Amino acid sequence: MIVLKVDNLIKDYPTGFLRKKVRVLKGVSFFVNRGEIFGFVGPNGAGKTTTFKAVLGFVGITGGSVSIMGRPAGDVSVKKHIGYLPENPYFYDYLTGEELLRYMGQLHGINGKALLKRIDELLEKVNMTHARKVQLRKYSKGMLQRIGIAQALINDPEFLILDEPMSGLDPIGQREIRELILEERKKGKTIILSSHILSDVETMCDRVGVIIGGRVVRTGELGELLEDIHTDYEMLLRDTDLEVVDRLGDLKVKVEKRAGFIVLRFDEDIKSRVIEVVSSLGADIVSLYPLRKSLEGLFVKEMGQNSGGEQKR
Amino acid sequence: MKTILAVAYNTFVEAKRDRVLYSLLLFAFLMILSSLIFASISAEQYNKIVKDLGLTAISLIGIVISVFLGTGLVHKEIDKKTVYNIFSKPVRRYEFVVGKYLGLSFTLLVNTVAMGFILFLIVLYTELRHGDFIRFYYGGNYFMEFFKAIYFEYLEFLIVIGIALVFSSFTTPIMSLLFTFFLFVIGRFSGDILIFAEGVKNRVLRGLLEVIYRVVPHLEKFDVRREAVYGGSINPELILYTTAYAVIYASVLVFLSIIIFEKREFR
Repeated sequence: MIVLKVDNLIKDYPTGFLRKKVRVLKGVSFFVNRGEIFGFVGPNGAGKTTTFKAVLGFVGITGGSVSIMGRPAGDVSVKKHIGYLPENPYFYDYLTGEELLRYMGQLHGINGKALLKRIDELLEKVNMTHARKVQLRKYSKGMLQRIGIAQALINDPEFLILDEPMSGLDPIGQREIRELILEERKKGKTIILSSHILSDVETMCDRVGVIIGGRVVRTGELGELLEDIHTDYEMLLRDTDLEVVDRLGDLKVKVEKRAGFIVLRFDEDIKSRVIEVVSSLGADIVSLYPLRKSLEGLFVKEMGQNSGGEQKR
Repeated sequence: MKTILAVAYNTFVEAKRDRVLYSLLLFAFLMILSSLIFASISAEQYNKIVKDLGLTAISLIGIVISVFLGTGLVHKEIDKKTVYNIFSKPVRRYEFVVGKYLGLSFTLLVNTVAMGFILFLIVLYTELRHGDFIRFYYGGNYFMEFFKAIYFEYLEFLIVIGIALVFSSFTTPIMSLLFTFFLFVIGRFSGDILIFAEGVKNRVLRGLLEVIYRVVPHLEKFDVRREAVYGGSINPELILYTTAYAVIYASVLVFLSIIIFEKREFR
Protein backbone atom coordinates (compact mmCIF):
# COMPACT_ATOMS: atom_id res chain seq x y z
CA MET A 1 0.00 0.00 0.00
CA ILE A 2 1.28 3.42 -0.94
CA VAL A 3 1.33 6.09 1.79
CA LEU A 4 2.75 8.94 -0.24
CA LYS A 5 2.65 9.32 -3.98
CA VAL A 6 4.21 12.34 -5.60
CA ASP A 7 3.60 12.52 -9.31
CA ASN A 8 5.38 14.94 -11.62
CA LEU A 9 5.36 17.64 -8.95
CA ILE A 10 6.27 21.08 -10.23
CA LYS A 11 6.84 24.15 -8.09
CA ASP A 12 7.61 27.67 -9.23
CA TYR A 13 8.60 30.44 -6.87
CA PRO A 14 8.25 34.04 -7.91
CA THR A 15 11.42 35.96 -7.12
CA GLY A 16 12.57 39.54 -7.13
CA PHE A 17 10.63 42.72 -7.70
CA LEU A 18 9.26 41.58 -11.06
CA ARG A 19 8.07 38.29 -9.56
CA LYS A 20 10.01 36.36 -12.15
CA LYS A 21 9.32 32.67 -11.78
CA VAL A 22 12.02 30.22 -10.86
CA ARG A 23 11.23 26.52 -11.21
CA VAL A 24 12.45 24.76 -8.10
CA LEU A 25 10.79 21.39 -8.62
CA LYS A 26 10.80 20.26 -12.22
CA GLY A 27 8.66 17.17 -12.11
CA VAL A 28 9.38 15.22 -8.94
CA SER A 29 7.96 11.69 -8.90
CA PHE A 30 8.31 8.95 -6.29
CA PHE A 31 6.22 6.94 -3.88
CA VAL A 32 6.61 5.62 -0.36
CA ASN A 33 5.22 2.23 0.64
CA ARG A 34 3.61 1.53 3.96
CA GLY A 35 6.05 0.33 6.60
CA GLU A 36 9.24 1.30 4.85
CA ILE A 37 11.92 3.88 5.42
CA PHE A 38 12.38 5.91 2.29
CA GLY A 39 15.55 7.97 2.00
CA PHE A 40 15.33 11.17 0.06
CA VAL A 41 18.86 12.19 -0.81
CA GLY A 42 20.34 14.99 -2.80
CA PRO A 43 22.70 17.92 -2.55
CA ASN A 44 21.70 21.15 -0.83
CA GLY A 45 19.16 23.07 -2.85
CA ALA A 46 18.06 20.03 -4.86
CA GLY A 47 14.46 20.43 -3.70
CA LYS A 48 14.12 17.99 -0.80
CA THR A 49 12.71 20.50 1.66
CA THR A 50 10.54 22.15 -0.98
CA THR A 51 9.04 18.77 -1.82
CA PHE A 52 8.15 18.25 1.85
CA LYS A 53 6.68 21.74 2.05
CA ALA A 54 4.51 21.05 -0.96
CA VAL A 55 3.40 17.69 0.45
CA LEU A 56 2.37 19.34 3.73
CA GLY A 57 0.65 22.25 2.01
CA PHE A 58 3.01 24.98 3.29
CA VAL A 59 3.37 26.07 -0.31
CA GLY A 60 0.97 25.55 -3.15
CA ILE A 61 1.86 23.33 -6.08
CA THR A 62 2.30 24.63 -9.62
CA GLY A 63 1.75 21.32 -11.37
CA GLY A 64 1.51 17.60 -10.86
CA SER A 65 -0.14 15.89 -7.94
CA VAL A 66 0.47 14.71 -4.41
CA SER A 67 -1.50 12.03 -2.64
CA ILE A 68 -0.77 11.54 1.03
CA MET A 69 -2.66 8.71 2.68
CA GLY A 70 -5.16 9.01 -0.10
CA ARG A 71 -5.76 12.73 0.36
CA PRO A 72 -4.41 15.76 -1.52
CA ALA A 73 -1.39 17.78 -0.35
CA GLY A 74 -1.92 19.82 2.79
CA ASP A 75 -5.17 18.12 3.75
CA VAL A 76 -5.82 18.99 7.39
CA SER A 77 -7.54 15.73 8.35
CA VAL A 78 -4.53 13.69 7.27
CA LYS A 79 -2.20 15.66 9.54
CA LYS A 80 -3.63 13.89 12.57
CA HIS A 81 -1.60 10.88 11.43
CA ILE A 82 1.56 12.69 10.42
CA GLY A 83 4.67 13.69 12.33
CA TYR A 84 7.00 16.26 10.82
CA LEU A 85 10.46 17.40 11.79
CA PRO A 86 11.45 20.58 9.92
CA GLU A 87 14.98 21.17 8.74
CA ASN A 88 16.96 23.14 11.36
CA PRO A 89 13.95 23.22 13.63
CA TYR A 90 13.27 26.49 15.32
CA PHE A 91 10.83 26.49 18.15
CA TYR A 92 9.42 29.06 20.48
CA ASP A 93 12.54 29.81 22.47
CA TYR A 94 10.57 31.22 25.40
CA LEU A 95 8.95 27.83 26.03
CA THR A 96 10.51 24.99 27.96
CA GLY A 97 10.89 21.59 26.31
CA GLU A 98 7.90 20.31 28.22
CA GLU A 99 5.74 23.32 27.35
CA LEU A 100 6.56 22.97 23.67
CA LEU A 101 5.47 19.34 23.69
CA ARG A 102 2.30 20.29 25.55
CA TYR A 103 1.46 22.99 22.99
CA MET A 104 2.16 20.68 20.06
CA GLY A 105 0.06 17.96 21.69
CA GLN A 106 -2.82 20.36 22.21
CA LEU A 107 -2.75 21.23 18.52
CA HIS A 108 -3.33 17.55 17.91
CA GLY A 109 -6.28 17.63 20.26
CA ILE A 110 -4.47 15.60 22.92
CA ASN A 111 -5.15 16.85 26.45
CA GLY A 112 -5.09 16.00 30.10
CA LYS A 113 -3.42 12.95 31.52
CA ALA A 114 -2.92 11.27 28.17
CA LEU A 115 -0.83 14.23 27.06
CA LEU A 116 1.24 14.35 30.25
CA LYS A 117 1.95 10.64 29.96
CA ARG A 118 2.96 10.98 26.33
CA ILE A 119 5.28 13.90 27.14
CA ASP A 120 7.02 11.86 29.85
CA GLU A 121 7.46 8.93 27.48
CA LEU A 122 8.86 11.05 24.69
CA LEU A 123 11.26 13.03 26.83
CA GLU A 124 12.58 9.74 28.10
CA LYS A 125 12.81 8.36 24.59
CA VAL A 126 14.86 11.24 23.21
CA ASN A 127 16.89 11.46 26.38
CA MET A 128 15.77 14.94 27.32
CA THR A 129 14.08 14.43 30.66
CA HIS A 130 16.83 16.41 32.38
CA ALA A 131 16.07 19.50 30.28
CA ARG A 132 12.28 19.43 30.41
CA LYS A 133 12.06 22.60 32.50
CA VAL A 134 14.75 24.46 30.57
CA GLN A 135 13.76 27.16 28.08
CA LEU A 136 14.52 26.23 24.49
CA ARG A 137 16.70 29.32 24.10
CA LYS A 138 19.23 27.54 26.27
CA TYR A 139 19.19 24.33 24.23
CA SER A 140 22.11 23.29 22.04
CA LYS A 141 21.50 22.39 18.41
CA GLY A 142 21.52 18.71 19.23
CA MET A 143 19.00 19.21 22.02
CA LEU A 144 16.71 21.14 19.70
CA GLN A 145 16.92 18.32 17.21
CA ARG A 146 15.94 15.81 19.89
CA ILE A 147 13.00 17.87 21.11
CA GLY A 148 12.06 18.35 17.46
CA ILE A 149 11.85 14.63 16.99
CA ALA A 150 9.86 14.31 20.21
CA GLN A 151 7.28 16.83 18.98
CA ALA A 152 7.04 14.99 15.66
CA LEU A 153 6.15 11.83 17.58
CA ILE A 154 3.67 13.44 19.99
CA ASN A 155 0.61 12.06 18.18
CA ASP A 156 2.16 8.61 17.64
CA PRO A 157 1.98 9.21 13.89
CA GLU A 158 1.51 6.62 11.18
CA PHE A 159 3.73 8.51 8.80
CA LEU A 160 6.86 10.41 9.75
CA ILE A 161 8.40 13.07 7.58
CA LEU A 162 11.88 13.89 8.85
CA ASP A 163 13.89 16.62 7.18
CA GLU A 164 17.55 16.07 7.97
CA PRO A 165 16.95 14.26 11.27
CA MET A 166 20.65 13.78 11.95
CA SER A 167 21.83 17.33 11.47
CA GLY A 168 23.44 18.93 14.47
CA LEU A 169 23.82 15.68 16.37
CA ASP A 170 27.06 14.22 17.65
CA PRO A 171 27.83 10.58 16.78
CA ILE A 172 26.17 9.26 19.91
CA GLY A 173 23.11 11.37 19.27
CA GLN A 174 23.03 10.18 15.68
CA ARG A 175 23.09 6.57 16.78
CA GLU A 176 20.27 7.16 19.25
CA ILE A 177 18.09 8.82 16.67
CA ARG A 178 18.88 6.10 14.16
CA GLU A 179 17.74 3.49 16.65
CA LEU A 180 14.64 5.49 17.38
CA ILE A 181 13.75 5.66 13.69
CA LEU A 182 14.33 1.94 13.23
CA GLU A 183 12.16 1.29 16.27
CA GLU A 184 9.33 3.26 14.69
CA ARG A 185 9.60 1.16 11.57
CA LYS A 186 9.47 -1.98 13.66
CA LYS A 187 6.15 -0.70 14.99
CA GLY A 188 4.91 -0.60 11.42
CA LYS A 189 5.30 3.14 10.88
CA THR A 190 6.19 4.61 7.53
CA ILE A 191 9.06 7.06 7.36
CA ILE A 192 10.51 9.36 4.76
CA LEU A 193 13.71 11.11 5.68
CA SER A 194 15.90 13.44 3.77
CA SER A 195 19.59 13.57 4.29
CA HIS A 196 22.87 14.34 2.74
CA ILE A 197 24.67 12.13 5.23
CA LEU A 198 24.71 9.17 2.93
CA SER A 199 25.84 6.59 5.44
CA ASP A 200 22.66 7.21 7.45
CA VAL A 201 20.55 6.53 4.44
CA GLU A 202 22.55 3.43 3.63
CA THR A 203 22.18 1.95 7.08
CA MET A 204 18.51 2.76 7.58
CA CYS A 205 16.59 3.05 4.35
CA ASP A 206 14.78 0.35 2.45
CA ARG A 207 14.39 2.45 -0.64
CA VAL A 208 16.02 5.61 -1.83
CA GLY A 209 15.14 8.46 -4.13
CA VAL A 210 17.92 10.63 -5.47
CA ILE A 211 16.89 14.20 -6.19
CA ILE A 212 19.14 16.50 -8.13
CA GLY A 213 18.29 19.90 -9.55
CA GLY A 214 14.58 19.59 -8.82
CA ARG A 215 14.15 16.15 -10.36
CA VAL A 216 14.18 12.68 -8.88
CA VAL A 217 16.76 11.03 -11.06
CA ARG A 218 16.74 7.55 -9.53
CA THR A 219 14.54 5.60 -7.15
CA GLY A 220 14.66 2.05 -6.01
CA GLU A 221 16.05 -0.36 -3.49
CA LEU A 222 19.56 0.43 -2.40
CA GLY A 223 21.06 -2.77 -3.80
CA GLU A 224 19.48 -2.09 -7.18
CA LEU A 225 20.79 1.44 -7.35
CA LEU A 226 24.28 0.49 -6.36
CA GLU A 227 24.58 -2.38 -8.79
CA ASP A 228 26.34 -0.46 -11.53
CA ILE A 229 28.42 1.69 -9.26
CA HIS A 230 32.13 0.97 -9.43
CA THR A 231 34.11 0.39 -6.33
CA ASP A 232 37.43 2.03 -5.69
CA TYR A 233 40.26 0.08 -4.09
CA GLU A 234 43.04 1.26 -1.89
CA MET A 235 46.46 -0.38 -1.78
CA LEU A 236 49.04 0.36 0.89
CA LEU A 237 52.75 0.02 0.09
CA ARG A 238 55.85 0.73 2.11
CA ASP A 239 57.19 4.13 1.10
CA THR A 240 60.55 2.60 0.26
CA ASP A 241 58.92 1.28 -2.91
CA LEU A 242 58.79 4.69 -4.56
CA GLU A 243 59.91 3.44 -7.96
CA VAL A 244 56.57 1.63 -8.32
CA VAL A 245 54.91 4.97 -8.72
CA ASP A 246 56.84 5.76 -11.89
CA ARG A 247 56.03 2.35 -13.37
CA LEU A 248 52.30 2.78 -12.97
CA GLY A 249 52.55 5.36 -15.74
CA ASP A 250 49.51 4.92 -17.98
CA LEU A 251 47.25 3.36 -15.34
CA LYS A 252 44.67 5.64 -13.74
CA VAL A 253 45.91 5.53 -10.19
CA LYS A 254 45.82 8.23 -7.53
CA VAL A 255 48.97 8.26 -5.45
CA GLU A 256 49.40 9.83 -2.07
CA LYS A 257 51.87 9.53 0.81
CA ARG A 258 50.37 8.87 4.19
CA ALA A 259 52.18 8.21 7.47
CA GLY A 260 55.07 6.18 6.16
CA PHE A 261 53.09 4.47 3.42
CA ILE A 262 52.27 5.03 -0.20
CA VAL A 263 48.57 4.81 -0.87
CA LEU A 264 47.34 3.88 -4.33
CA ARG A 265 43.67 4.40 -5.15
CA PHE A 266 42.14 2.94 -8.31
CA ASP A 267 38.96 1.59 -9.87
CA GLU A 268 38.17 -2.11 -9.62
CA ASP A 269 38.45 -2.46 -13.41
CA ILE A 270 42.22 -2.13 -13.25
CA LYS A 271 42.70 -3.97 -9.99
CA SER A 272 44.45 -6.99 -11.47
CA ARG A 273 46.72 -4.84 -13.65
CA VAL A 274 47.85 -2.81 -10.66
CA ILE A 275 48.53 -5.92 -8.60
CA GLU A 276 50.48 -7.34 -11.52
CA VAL A 277 52.69 -4.29 -11.90
CA VAL A 278 53.30 -3.91 -8.18
CA SER A 279 54.10 -7.62 -7.67
CA SER A 280 56.43 -7.73 -10.68
CA LEU A 281 58.53 -5.06 -9.01
CA GLY A 282 58.63 -6.98 -5.78
CA ALA A 283 57.09 -4.16 -3.79
CA ASP A 284 55.81 -4.88 -0.30
CA ILE A 285 52.00 -4.76 -0.32
CA VAL A 286 50.86 -3.99 3.19
CA SER A 287 47.17 -4.17 2.43
CA LEU A 288 44.57 -4.05 -0.30
CA TYR A 289 40.94 -3.33 0.45
CA PRO A 290 37.82 -2.15 -1.34
CA LEU A 291 36.42 1.24 -0.44
CA ARG A 292 32.79 0.56 0.35
CA LYS A 293 30.44 0.46 -2.59
CA SER A 294 28.27 3.33 -1.61
CA LEU A 295 25.60 5.80 -2.31
CA GLU A 296 28.30 8.38 -2.57
CA GLY A 297 29.41 6.80 -5.82
CA LEU A 298 25.87 6.90 -7.12
CA PHE A 299 25.51 10.43 -5.98
CA VAL A 300 28.66 11.58 -7.68
CA LYS A 301 27.71 9.76 -10.86
CA GLU A 302 24.23 11.25 -11.00
CA MET A 303 25.57 14.66 -10.14
CA GLY A 304 27.90 14.39 -13.07
CA GLN A 305 25.04 13.56 -15.40
CA ASN A 306 22.68 16.21 -14.10
CA SER A 307 23.49 19.83 -13.82
CA GLY A 308 23.91 20.11 -10.07
CA GLY A 309 21.76 21.77 -7.46
CA GLU A 310 20.15 25.11 -7.64
CA GLN A 311 20.08 27.97 -5.26
CA LYS A 312 19.00 27.04 -1.77
CA ARG A 313 15.56 28.36 -0.93
CA MET B 1 -12.10 25.84 19.33
CA LYS B 2 -9.49 24.05 21.45
CA THR B 3 -6.91 24.70 18.76
CA ILE B 4 -7.73 28.41 18.75
CA LEU B 5 -7.42 28.53 22.53
CA ALA B 6 -4.09 26.68 22.44
CA VAL B 7 -2.70 29.21 19.94
CA ALA B 8 -4.14 32.10 21.95
CA TYR B 9 -2.65 30.83 25.17
CA ASN B 10 0.75 30.43 23.59
CA THR B 11 0.55 33.98 22.24
CA PHE B 12 -0.21 35.21 25.74
CA VAL B 13 2.69 33.22 27.19
CA GLU B 14 5.01 34.68 24.59
CA ALA B 15 3.98 38.24 25.44
CA LYS B 16 4.32 37.53 29.13
CA ARG B 17 7.79 36.04 28.73
CA ASP B 18 8.74 38.92 26.48
CA ARG B 19 8.22 40.97 29.61
CA VAL B 20 5.36 42.97 28.17
CA LEU B 21 3.77 43.12 31.57
CA TYR B 22 6.75 45.11 32.78
CA SER B 23 4.96 48.01 31.17
CA LEU B 24 2.81 47.95 34.30
CA LEU B 25 5.81 48.92 36.36
CA LEU B 26 6.53 51.76 33.96
CA PHE B 27 2.94 52.86 34.32
CA ALA B 28 3.00 52.75 38.11
CA PHE B 29 6.28 54.64 38.12
CA LEU B 30 4.93 57.35 35.82
CA MET B 31 1.82 57.79 37.90
CA ILE B 32 3.65 58.05 41.19
CA LEU B 33 6.11 60.46 39.66
CA SER B 34 3.32 62.67 38.36
CA SER B 35 1.55 62.60 41.72
CA LEU B 36 4.69 63.96 43.30
CA ILE B 37 5.07 66.68 40.68
CA PHE B 38 1.49 67.90 40.96
CA ALA B 39 1.21 67.49 44.70
CA SER B 40 1.15 71.22 45.40
CA ILE B 41 -1.98 72.20 43.47
CA SER B 42 -5.54 72.23 44.77
CA ALA B 43 -7.29 68.98 45.56
CA GLU B 44 -9.97 69.42 42.89
CA GLN B 45 -7.47 70.14 40.15
CA TYR B 46 -5.11 67.52 41.39
CA ASN B 47 -7.61 64.71 41.06
CA LYS B 48 -8.51 65.68 37.56
CA ILE B 49 -4.92 65.84 36.49
CA VAL B 50 -4.11 62.44 37.96
CA LYS B 51 -7.11 60.86 36.26
CA ASP B 52 -6.51 62.54 32.93
CA LEU B 53 -2.85 61.66 33.00
CA GLY B 54 -3.55 58.10 34.08
CA LEU B 55 -6.10 57.48 31.35
CA THR B 56 -3.77 58.96 28.76
CA ALA B 57 -0.93 56.76 29.95
CA ILE B 58 -3.10 53.61 29.83
CA SER B 59 -4.11 54.48 26.29
CA LEU B 60 -0.59 55.24 25.19
CA ILE B 61 0.96 52.11 26.68
CA GLY B 62 -1.87 49.96 25.32
CA ILE B 63 -1.53 51.40 21.83
CA VAL B 64 2.23 50.93 21.83
CA ILE B 65 1.88 47.27 22.89
CA SER B 66 -0.91 46.66 20.34
CA VAL B 67 1.11 48.15 17.50
CA PHE B 68 4.45 46.59 18.35
CA LEU B 69 3.25 43.11 19.23
CA GLY B 70 0.45 43.17 16.68
CA THR B 71 2.72 43.89 13.73
CA GLY B 72 4.97 40.95 14.63
CA LEU B 73 2.10 38.64 15.48
CA VAL B 74 1.95 36.57 12.31
CA HIS B 75 5.11 37.70 10.59
CA LYS B 76 7.37 36.53 13.38
CA GLU B 77 6.02 32.99 13.15
CA ILE B 78 6.62 32.90 9.41
CA ASP B 79 10.03 34.52 9.69
CA LYS B 80 11.20 32.19 12.45
CA LYS B 81 9.61 29.23 10.70
CA THR B 82 7.55 28.20 13.67
CA VAL B 83 4.59 27.99 11.28
CA TYR B 84 6.02 24.68 10.08
CA ASN B 85 5.44 23.18 13.49
CA ILE B 86 1.94 24.59 13.64
CA PHE B 87 0.71 23.65 10.20
CA SER B 88 2.18 20.16 10.19
CA LYS B 89 -0.45 19.56 12.87
CA PRO B 90 -4.17 19.48 12.12
CA VAL B 91 -4.52 23.25 12.38
CA ARG B 92 -6.52 25.32 9.92
CA ARG B 93 -5.11 28.66 8.95
CA TYR B 94 -8.09 30.61 10.21
CA GLU B 95 -7.75 28.92 13.60
CA PHE B 96 -4.19 30.17 13.81
CA VAL B 97 -5.07 33.76 12.86
CA VAL B 98 -8.02 33.94 15.25
CA GLY B 99 -5.93 32.36 18.00
CA LYS B 100 -3.14 34.88 17.53
CA TYR B 101 -5.64 37.76 17.62
CA LEU B 102 -7.39 36.50 20.74
CA GLY B 103 -4.06 35.85 22.45
CA LEU B 104 -2.88 39.41 22.06
CA SER B 105 -6.33 40.77 22.93
CA PHE B 106 -6.21 38.78 26.14
CA THR B 107 -2.70 40.04 26.90
CA LEU B 108 -3.97 43.59 26.56
CA LEU B 109 -7.01 42.83 28.65
CA VAL B 110 -4.82 41.65 31.51
CA ASN B 111 -2.53 44.63 31.07
CA THR B 112 -5.34 47.17 30.88
CA VAL B 113 -7.20 45.77 33.87
CA ALA B 114 -4.00 45.86 35.90
CA MET B 115 -3.18 49.43 34.86
CA GLY B 116 -6.79 50.46 35.56
CA PHE B 117 -6.53 48.94 39.00
CA ILE B 118 -3.27 50.75 39.77
CA LEU B 119 -4.81 54.02 38.63
CA PHE B 120 -7.95 53.35 40.66
CA LEU B 121 -5.88 52.88 43.79
CA ILE B 122 -3.98 56.10 43.17
CA VAL B 123 -7.16 58.08 42.54
CA LEU B 124 -8.83 56.54 45.57
CA TYR B 125 -5.86 57.45 47.70
CA THR B 126 -5.79 61.05 46.53
CA GLU B 127 -9.55 61.41 46.99
CA LEU B 128 -9.31 60.22 50.55
CA ARG B 129 -6.23 62.21 51.33
CA HIS B 130 -7.88 65.40 50.18
CA GLY B 131 -10.82 64.74 52.45
CA ASP B 132 -13.30 64.19 49.69
CA PHE B 133 -14.49 61.05 51.29
CA ILE B 134 -18.12 62.13 51.45
CA ARG B 135 -18.36 62.75 47.75
CA PHE B 136 -16.59 59.49 47.13
CA TYR B 137 -18.97 57.65 49.41
CA TYR B 138 -22.23 59.12 48.19
CA GLY B 139 -21.51 59.62 44.56
CA GLY B 140 -22.09 56.02 43.50
CA ASN B 141 -21.49 56.78 39.85
CA TYR B 142 -18.45 58.81 40.46
CA PHE B 143 -16.05 56.05 39.57
CA MET B 144 -18.23 54.41 36.98
CA GLU B 145 -17.42 56.97 34.29
CA PHE B 146 -13.79 56.42 35.00
CA PHE B 147 -14.07 52.65 34.44
CA LYS B 148 -16.13 53.20 31.32
CA ALA B 149 -13.33 55.32 29.90
CA ILE B 150 -10.84 52.50 30.46
CA TYR B 151 -13.25 50.08 28.81
CA PHE B 152 -13.47 52.38 25.77
CA GLU B 153 -9.70 52.50 25.59
CA TYR B 154 -9.60 48.73 25.52
CA LEU B 155 -12.09 48.65 22.65
CA GLU B 156 -9.73 50.90 20.73
CA PHE B 157 -6.87 48.46 21.34
CA LEU B 158 -8.98 45.69 19.82
CA ILE B 159 -9.21 47.64 16.57
CA VAL B 160 -5.54 48.61 16.56
CA ILE B 161 -4.50 44.96 17.06
CA GLY B 162 -6.76 44.08 14.13
CA ILE B 163 -5.12 46.69 11.90
CA ALA B 164 -1.66 45.47 12.87
CA LEU B 165 -2.72 41.88 12.22
CA VAL B 166 -3.90 42.68 8.69
CA PHE B 167 -0.62 44.33 7.77
CA SER B 168 1.37 41.69 9.62
CA SER B 169 -0.14 38.96 7.48
CA PHE B 170 1.36 40.24 4.25
CA THR B 171 4.22 42.65 4.87
CA THR B 172 7.34 43.07 6.97
CA PRO B 173 7.14 44.26 10.59
CA ILE B 174 8.68 47.64 9.74
CA MET B 175 6.17 48.30 6.98
CA SER B 176 3.29 47.05 9.13
CA LEU B 177 4.47 49.32 11.90
CA LEU B 178 4.42 52.34 9.61
CA PHE B 179 1.07 51.45 8.03
CA THR B 180 -0.56 50.69 11.34
CA PHE B 181 0.69 53.86 12.93
CA PHE B 182 -0.41 55.85 9.90
CA LEU B 183 -3.90 54.38 9.98
CA PHE B 184 -4.06 54.89 13.72
CA VAL B 185 -3.31 58.61 13.38
CA ILE B 186 -5.86 58.99 10.57
CA GLY B 187 -8.34 57.08 12.71
CA ARG B 188 -7.81 59.39 15.65
CA PHE B 189 -8.52 62.39 13.43
CA SER B 190 -11.15 60.79 11.20
CA GLY B 191 -13.71 63.45 12.14
CA ASP B 192 -11.46 66.10 10.65
CA ILE B 193 -11.50 64.32 7.29
CA LEU B 194 -15.22 64.98 7.01
CA ILE B 195 -14.84 68.61 8.07
CA PHE B 196 -12.07 69.01 5.56
CA ALA B 197 -14.13 67.31 2.82
CA GLU B 198 -16.96 69.76 3.31
CA GLY B 199 -14.65 72.61 2.39
CA VAL B 200 -13.37 70.96 -0.78
CA LYS B 201 -14.92 72.23 -4.03
CA ASN B 202 -13.70 69.50 -6.36
CA ARG B 203 -16.44 66.84 -6.29
CA VAL B 204 -14.18 63.92 -7.11
CA LEU B 205 -11.77 64.78 -4.34
CA ARG B 206 -14.63 65.38 -1.94
CA GLY B 207 -16.15 62.01 -2.84
CA LEU B 208 -12.79 60.37 -2.28
CA LEU B 209 -12.39 61.98 1.12
CA GLU B 210 -15.86 60.85 2.11
CA VAL B 211 -15.04 57.28 1.12
CA ILE B 212 -11.85 57.43 3.16
CA TYR B 213 -13.85 58.78 6.07
CA ARG B 214 -16.23 55.84 5.88
CA VAL B 215 -13.50 53.21 5.59
CA VAL B 216 -11.00 54.30 8.25
CA PRO B 217 -11.71 53.40 11.87
CA HIS B 218 -13.28 56.25 13.84
CA LEU B 219 -10.95 55.95 16.77
CA GLU B 220 -11.87 59.30 18.28
CA LYS B 221 -15.15 57.69 19.32
CA PHE B 222 -13.21 55.78 21.94
CA ASP B 223 -11.86 58.85 23.64
CA VAL B 224 -14.24 59.69 26.47
CA ARG B 225 -11.64 61.02 28.84
CA ARG B 226 -13.29 64.45 28.99
CA GLU B 227 -16.55 62.92 30.20
CA ALA B 228 -14.76 60.70 32.66
CA VAL B 229 -12.54 63.38 34.13
CA TYR B 230 -14.47 66.62 33.95
CA GLY B 231 -17.93 65.27 34.62
CA GLY B 232 -20.41 64.17 32.06
CA SER B 233 -22.12 60.93 31.50
CA ILE B 234 -21.44 58.10 29.17
CA ASN B 235 -24.87 56.65 28.52
CA PRO B 236 -25.62 52.96 27.93
CA GLU B 237 -26.59 53.56 24.30
CA LEU B 238 -23.16 54.99 23.62
CA ILE B 239 -21.50 52.03 25.32
CA LEU B 240 -23.58 49.60 23.30
CA TYR B 241 -23.01 51.44 20.05
CA THR B 242 -19.26 51.80 20.58
CA THR B 243 -18.87 48.17 21.64
CA ALA B 244 -20.75 46.98 18.56
CA TYR B 245 -18.68 49.26 16.36
CA ALA B 246 -15.40 47.95 17.79
CA VAL B 247 -16.41 44.30 17.64
CA ILE B 248 -17.68 44.52 14.07
CA TYR B 249 -14.73 46.56 12.85
CA ALA B 250 -12.22 44.22 14.52
CA SER B 251 -14.04 41.17 13.15
CA VAL B 252 -13.81 42.54 9.64
CA LEU B 253 -10.08 43.09 10.15
CA VAL B 254 -9.54 39.57 11.43
CA PHE B 255 -11.57 38.22 8.53
CA LEU B 256 -9.44 40.22 6.10
CA SER B 257 -6.27 38.83 7.71
CA ILE B 258 -7.60 35.30 7.31
CA ILE B 259 -8.26 35.84 3.59
CA ILE B 260 -4.70 37.13 3.12
CA PHE B 261 -3.16 34.45 5.31
CA GLU B 262 -4.97 31.60 3.53
CA LYS B 263 -3.02 32.45 0.41
CA ARG B 264 0.36 32.85 2.09
CA GLU B 265 3.13 30.45 1.16
CA PHE B 266 5.58 29.46 3.88
CA ARG B 267 8.80 29.12 1.96
